[in-house]
Amino acid sequence: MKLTLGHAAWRSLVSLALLAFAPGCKDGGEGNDDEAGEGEDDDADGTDTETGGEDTYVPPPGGMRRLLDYQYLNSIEMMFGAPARAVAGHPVDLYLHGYSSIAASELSPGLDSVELYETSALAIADAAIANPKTMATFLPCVMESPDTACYTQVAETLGHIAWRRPLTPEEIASIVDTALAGQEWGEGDFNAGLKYEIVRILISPHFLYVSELGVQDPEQAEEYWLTTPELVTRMSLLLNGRIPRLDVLINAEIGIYDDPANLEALARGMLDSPEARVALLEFFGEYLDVEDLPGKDTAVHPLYSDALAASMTEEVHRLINDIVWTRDVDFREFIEADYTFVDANLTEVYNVNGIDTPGAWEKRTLPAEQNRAGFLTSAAFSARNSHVQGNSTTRRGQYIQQRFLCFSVPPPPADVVPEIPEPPGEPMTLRDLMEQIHLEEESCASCHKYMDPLAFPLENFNAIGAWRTVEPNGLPIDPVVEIDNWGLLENGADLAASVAMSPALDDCIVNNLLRFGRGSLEDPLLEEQELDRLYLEFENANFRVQELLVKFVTSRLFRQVGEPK
Amino acid sequence: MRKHLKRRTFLRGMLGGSVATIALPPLDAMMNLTQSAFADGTDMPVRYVSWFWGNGIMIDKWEPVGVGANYQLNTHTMPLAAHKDYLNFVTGLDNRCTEQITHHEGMTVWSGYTMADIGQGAGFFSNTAGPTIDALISELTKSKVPISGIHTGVSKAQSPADNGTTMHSLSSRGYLQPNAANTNPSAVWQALFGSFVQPKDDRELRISILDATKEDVATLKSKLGTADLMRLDAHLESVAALQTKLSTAAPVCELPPDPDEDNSESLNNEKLTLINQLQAELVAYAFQCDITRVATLLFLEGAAEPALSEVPGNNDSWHQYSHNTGSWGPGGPFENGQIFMMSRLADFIGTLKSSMEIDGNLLDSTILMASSDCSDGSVHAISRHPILLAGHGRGYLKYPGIHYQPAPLAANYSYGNWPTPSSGNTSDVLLAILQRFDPTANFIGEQNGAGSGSPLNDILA
Repeated sequence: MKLTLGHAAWRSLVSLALLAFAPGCKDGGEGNDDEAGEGEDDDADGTDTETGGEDTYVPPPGGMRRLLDYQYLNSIEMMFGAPARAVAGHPVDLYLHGYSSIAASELSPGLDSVELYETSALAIADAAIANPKTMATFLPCVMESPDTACYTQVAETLGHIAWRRPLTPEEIASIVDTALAGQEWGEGDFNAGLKYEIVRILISPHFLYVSELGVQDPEQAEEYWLTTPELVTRMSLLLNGRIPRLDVLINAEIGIYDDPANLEALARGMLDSPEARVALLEFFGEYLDVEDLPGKDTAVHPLYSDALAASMTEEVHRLINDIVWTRDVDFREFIEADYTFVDANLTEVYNVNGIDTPGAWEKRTLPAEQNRAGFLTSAAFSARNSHVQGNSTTRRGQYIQQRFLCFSVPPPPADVVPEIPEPPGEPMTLRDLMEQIHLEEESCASCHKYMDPLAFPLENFNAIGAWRTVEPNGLPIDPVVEIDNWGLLENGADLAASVAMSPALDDCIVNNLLRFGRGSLEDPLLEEQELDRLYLEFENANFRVQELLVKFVTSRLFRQVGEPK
Repeated sequence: MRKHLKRRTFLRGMLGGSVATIALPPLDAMMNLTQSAFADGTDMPVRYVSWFWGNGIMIDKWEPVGVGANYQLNTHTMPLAAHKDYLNFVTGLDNRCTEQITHHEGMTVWSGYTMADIGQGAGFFSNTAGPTIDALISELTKSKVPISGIHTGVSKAQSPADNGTTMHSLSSRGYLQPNAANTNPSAVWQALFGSFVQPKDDRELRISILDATKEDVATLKSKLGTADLMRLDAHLESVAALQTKLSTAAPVCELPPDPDEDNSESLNNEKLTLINQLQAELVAYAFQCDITRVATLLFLEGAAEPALSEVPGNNDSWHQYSHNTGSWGPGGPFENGQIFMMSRLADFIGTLKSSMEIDGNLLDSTILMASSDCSDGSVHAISRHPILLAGHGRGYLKYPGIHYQPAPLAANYSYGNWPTPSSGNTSDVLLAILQRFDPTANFIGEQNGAGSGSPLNDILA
């Protein structure tokens, strides 16, 4: 069966979708690279030095966003140590457009948010005082000279770190007043004052909300540049998953990072930190959404367990870490790698042996007959996009379209009857069934033709990702499908190669990173110029994610904002 | 070890070392002679609950048989039989949402607003456009209680059919102001009771710290745009909510134990019955202590995909079953699921009913509205949108209850179609409920659309 779902058709649909539904990928791809510049700054007169054309870039609005849960926890740990982190709590992050960072920029905080933060701050302060060594690294007075003067130092220094700016004399005085009131409440106990001083700093909106307002561009009134402290905060939150260290803030305040070379060096330094690996997984956690895999019916999938699900997720983390950090290579390998990481829980799923030690992981090439390649043939992908018992070609196809090709399948038109037709009486494969009920009737096929066929080559992998050649009813699986421009796809590896080679994939990764890192959707019209530049820079960097991160955080897409929203 | 909450452990005052700082429940000595109001003149508390289950009903087996006071429960609502006197069914009304995007329009039944931002950014996307009924009631009751409302959930499954807020928000204070459903009973306990446990009373100091942070807000406000100013106002509301909680609490009511249940089972393996019961007990406890008068429970989002592992025959996604009328046969997985949903609703209602106060049980003082996002879920129909009211709100709704229905279901209706006839406006029910808390309210929801200025008086006592 040949399906007219070729790349060109997708491209056209994607272009339409950009306008109507999804500000996702740029149009074009191969052959359109000459539209983008090389990443140099624009001239002050508003012309783009690379293209010689007019500067058409319009940044998204500036504003404020709430610290995300992991950013809050990491920041607490930086300031007060692991025991404080262990007792910290926070409001649950919501999602908008698939990302918590966008929700944190646009949704109002819940009515219980301040209470949750206050409860957390009280516990953090107790833990920080009981375990003062971390705080004492930048505030030695809390251990060496616990007196009234120390309250002032705490207000100045801890306030500076937490609020990402030097405090005004009035603010310092107000915080010290709180400390003294706490000390009085505690009948003269220094630590009682310190506790409520910490609480005062941590429940301030200056800590909880990140200001990204910038200063007006003298040449273009509608554009703003993030102040350098705002910029290093945004960078640190993305690259290290926490607010910046005090030395970085001070360097920002005295203008060190106004020099682009120093700014780039800062970004690369942040990437050198072990925290960067953890922070990047926060992005992939939301982008891939395989952190909490759904349970399976163990009567049908006796191998399934919570431990297996955890190993599936860990496998994905290890593959990302290997590609991005250990080898720093083309990220498209994530889609088509000829190896993966396996532990004892995964050996039966992948039919490999020799890994028996619990907790031990090995880099393995999987059995050739399974035609596995990268994430799309992984257990985590299969499990996430399946039902509790059986497979779902719709879920798998939609996932690929939405997350890797940036094509949002539209909701069914209002006049479409979304009722699933009665399945035929005779046994069928899932593919045969989907071809009959999703692809024959035009009202269904108008949407499902973008989803189900993409997943037919993955039918060899069951709902926990184990290899199979027949369905539970004994019927043989036919994974072969022909797709325009992608040609004949005979198996999962063929599909993975086609997705990996699609220009839409490269752009889609960039777009998703941008959404996560800025807390806003990209605008393919107003931001086309800078988006195209970043797409090209990713390509020129051989699709290495570390380099993409550096280019992104030093780009106008990251450094500029518009009028406050 | 998970703990169900013990009943009738109130009024013991001080616990071992910790101060139980819960607001005052009604005592004999505090009441006027007719026990209709506190001696200081304030009215006895009236409570409100929203209870939601996703993906609609089998309408011919859900809508009661007959109308008026002598109606009979239908097959799927039989689990509610023990509470029938307290039930008012409203069927056959139209949800007048003016847009359609699969399940989203069904949520209009809670607000009277058509959703906003449809399709923005991605195909399946919309945001709630206005406040839901519970949020309006919270505004009216918040000055009387420490917490304006508690928002709970049962299944953690999120609808993949909404990248916005509509399908995830049974409760919303307004546009871009969702009240997230908390599916973790221990966290709900913390929100309701946890902050009252302090070894030494530091509330005055904490209130002063919160006052100081308001000055921080003022500093920020000078720099922000309109949208962020709205968000800062919401932050200030949250500050005020905590200050209210700290300043109005009084040491009377014993704290219930933390249920020690975080609802961490994976999707498809969730313990929905247990979580629903624990949330019901926490809400009942909070009502009895008068910590809050408003609660919501999002049992399962519309279009969410988990399999209901506790339901016989359910080995596929609940959403999938709702679109497959082939699974709607007698004893089939969808029918079993319908009975399961109503059984859990019965659990919740039964918990309120078994929670006694001085002048009756909590159903006597509560109005609970239960509904879904569809009538016939297979086609996302919002005609004949189902509504069930439980409790009479201190004599406000009919008791014993009735079945209000403008016209019976068409004889030629079959599954997979929009049920007819459908008339009236589901928002009429919302306005009737709202007027229990604000007799001067004369409209709810949007003008010229799904809103209503005509309360459904037929269900009033």
